[in-house]
Amino acid sequence: MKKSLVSLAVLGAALALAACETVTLAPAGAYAVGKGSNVTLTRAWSDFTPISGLKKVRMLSIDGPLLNRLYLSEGLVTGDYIVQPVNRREATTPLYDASMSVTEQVEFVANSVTAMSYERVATSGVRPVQVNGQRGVRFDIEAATEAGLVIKGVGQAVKANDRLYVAIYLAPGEHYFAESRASAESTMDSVTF
Amino acid sequence: MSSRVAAVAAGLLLASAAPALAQHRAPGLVPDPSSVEGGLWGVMERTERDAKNSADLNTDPALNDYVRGVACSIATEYCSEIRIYIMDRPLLNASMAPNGYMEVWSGLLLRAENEAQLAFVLGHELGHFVENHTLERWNTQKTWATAAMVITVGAGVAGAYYGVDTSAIGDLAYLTAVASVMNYSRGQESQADAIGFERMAGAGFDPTAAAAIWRQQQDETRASSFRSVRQSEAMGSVFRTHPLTAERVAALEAMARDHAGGREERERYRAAIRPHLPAWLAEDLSRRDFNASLALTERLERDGLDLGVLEFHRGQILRQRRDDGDLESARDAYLTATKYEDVPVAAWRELGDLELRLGDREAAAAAWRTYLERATTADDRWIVEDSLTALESNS
Repeated sequence: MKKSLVSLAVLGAALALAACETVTLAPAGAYAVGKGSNVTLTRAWSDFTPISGLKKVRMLSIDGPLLNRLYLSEGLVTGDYIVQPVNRREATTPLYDASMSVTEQVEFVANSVTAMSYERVATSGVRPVQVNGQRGVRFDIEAATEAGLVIKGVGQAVKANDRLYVAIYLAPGEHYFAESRASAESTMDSVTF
Repeated sequence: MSSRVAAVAAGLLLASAAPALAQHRAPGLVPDPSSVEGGLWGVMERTERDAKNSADLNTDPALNDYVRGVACSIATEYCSEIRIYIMDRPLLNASMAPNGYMEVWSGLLLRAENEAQLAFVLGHELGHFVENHTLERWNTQKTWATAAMVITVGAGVAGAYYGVDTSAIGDLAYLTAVASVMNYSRGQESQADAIGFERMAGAGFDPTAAAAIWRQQQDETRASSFRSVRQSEAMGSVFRTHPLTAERVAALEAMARDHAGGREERERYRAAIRPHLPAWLAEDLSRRDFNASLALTERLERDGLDLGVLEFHRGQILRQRRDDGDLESARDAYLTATKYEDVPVAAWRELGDLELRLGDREAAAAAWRTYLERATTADDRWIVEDSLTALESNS
């Protein structure tokens, strides 16, 4: 039994290591989010999308996903998720609907952050934003990890071409949020549709 | 390896069928730190430290005093040993560790209809504590503790070799071991039921409350949107690890027949949880089990209390569920909510959005104007102003 469990632990660590090998560099400059949407990165980020399990959403990080993460969606249509449910027949994560009002778009993003296993997710500072000629909404996010670490973030939802383009930046409130906020918001400003 | 795992699982099942006996706990007991129970206290103290730092911890002094008061009313002799942590987590759950650390989840407080039902569940958990059930489980499940240690050490070795952080694997093994100790046998659950019942009824509470909270949970489970939940005995909750059977409910009903009636304290209970009702309902909705949330909301409405909050919440559920006819029903719920003084101001914003979607422009404009009049400092006023301007420019 002991030998088997040690083997299991070694296997788990090896798989984790193998998964890390698929993280790629997203250098400063143009970055394709997908299906006609692009952003401009003002600095290099690491692209964790291949190991994120996300569809239609890219996940970038600078210091690792626990310390900062930037989600960028391609244009979402009715029936799309930011966070995929484990079982599509029992959708426990928020589903986008094209008929959502602006208020519901904010709610959709906040509920999706909750579905990422963050606690006490709250939005504030809901404000209009112009992104490449399209009026959208940007807002502040505050949440916590289960262990009590305060997380701060910025969310954005812009509707263009009948699709919703979402961006979410999240980082611990201590040091990391402020450290990368400018780069994250600059990327949000640069979304093309 | 699979045969070994199966053998361990079979061993655990046998152990759970015939738990080793532990002694009834005398009030004020503090075990020798070098004893098995002393070690178990050490493990639980670590879990308690995590609870203290958890983001879910509800620190409202009034609510904490109230729940503690109910616990002490049924367990006077153990009151000084009980440390209650209210956790804002949407499932119906409570647990008590052998060192006196008790967790009460908001999902329980949201679902209990009155003080008597809360007293029964607290008494049930106290029953595990008083009868040292955790120690019994520890004695029968040492294998889990050993496995947790081996996995933790193995992961540490592998992590050092590969240069990666595997602490999460160790934490998972540790939590699994803790969970296994807290997973009581059917016999222990029945005993805890009996103790909870006697303490609750003995303190003068309504004896039918015990079976009632069980039945309520069964009803909510049957209403679930999710097939996997409907097929379970009780929605992910304390009852999932507490075998819930017709016999168990029947046993509590039989006990109640032998007792005279008692007090429910329904209004006092609702007053205690009222400040947290909107947040707890919203947390419950985050599970996206819309039909179960509707069943819960309808049950809470039966008392005729907090109808502005509850009708607004019904609107929120229906608006997010988006089944056929839901938008009309959500609009009606928001409209009903606006007739009560405790309605959240957001009801007018949502009402305006739905009225427009359903084609009533005048009603939409009226609702939005009311929102703007009342939500004078809301940061989303500009959204409603945009909507109103667009509506008026197109008329």
